[in-house]
Amino acid sequence: MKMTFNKTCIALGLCGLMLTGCESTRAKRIDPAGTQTITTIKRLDIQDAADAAAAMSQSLLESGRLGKHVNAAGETVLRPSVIAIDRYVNNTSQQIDRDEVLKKIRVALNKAGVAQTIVTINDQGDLGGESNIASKFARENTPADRSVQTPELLVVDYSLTFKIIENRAQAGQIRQTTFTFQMSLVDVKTGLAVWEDEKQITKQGKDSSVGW
Amino acid sequence: MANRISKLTALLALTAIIVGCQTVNTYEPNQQQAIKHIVQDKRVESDLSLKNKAQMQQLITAHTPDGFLKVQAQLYNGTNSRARINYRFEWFDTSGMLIDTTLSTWKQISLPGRDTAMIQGMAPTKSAVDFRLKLLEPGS
Repeated sequence: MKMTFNKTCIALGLCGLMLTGCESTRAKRIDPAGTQTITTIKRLDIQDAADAAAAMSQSLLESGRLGKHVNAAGETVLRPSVIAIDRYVNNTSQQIDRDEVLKKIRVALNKAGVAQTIVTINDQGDLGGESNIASKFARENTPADRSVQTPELLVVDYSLTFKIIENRAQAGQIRQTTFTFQMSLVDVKTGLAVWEDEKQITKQGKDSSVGW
Repeated sequence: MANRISKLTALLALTAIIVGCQTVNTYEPNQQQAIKHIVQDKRVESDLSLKNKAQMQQLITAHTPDGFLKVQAQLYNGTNSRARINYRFEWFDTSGMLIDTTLSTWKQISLPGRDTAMIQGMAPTKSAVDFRLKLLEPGS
């Protein structure tokens, strides 16, 4: 009786293991915002980028710098701030698309109604940004000597600089990678960094894993 | 032979307990100056293990000068071991609709044994009036 019970248990256990094993290796769609994504040690994972973007957006919203301005008469005017994307420095060993983090921040600020990004200026401050058509329009309406500027160019309030730094360490077989995200919001009229923040994400372990 | 195995097992268990234990001593003013707006919460606790590792002690809300709702939750790890906890804030507008936002991502904290931690969330828009905090044990 006992022998039969043990055999049944072992068979059921093996069957369960096989089923679980099949489930974990079969391709399936997962929620990219969930906790089942792959966590690597060396790379910037999608959850790292989302986490950094959320932290930066939250900090920017909390600062209260965006969405209100003082006009020539000294009155406070409520309107979305106009942001130009400035220099992006990637001091890591891997290629990280600027928008992997930055676009999420732009979306969050835009949806919050406190900022809009100007897409006719490139990161050198010249005409020619993400939008070819809008940049062309701006070029056609701006004389070479910049004596007259299009209305869009007149209202740039802030520029956003962004830097990612990577730091690696190892102790035996345990590896550790830290990504540091640094961001500054600069008032283009005064050149002052009116908001700055930093977010660090550190990952430690031996191998990559599924879920976190 | 059986006696030696028992001793060895006991020694290993003791080592595991000692290694696993990491608790924190905390000190703060007896009388706090801050005036908190504590929210009465409604709980649905289906994971009893997590309930002990992340005991919800306090939910505080405030508004930024610009009108964004801010929430801070105080969690207490009731175990003697360090616990990792995933959390996420969800935000709802005046109609009770969930606001789709990149600010509602899962985040993780690592909380030493017998220690408290504050986790903070910020509403993605000024129209957010309600929130929900979700806690999840890693690997689940």
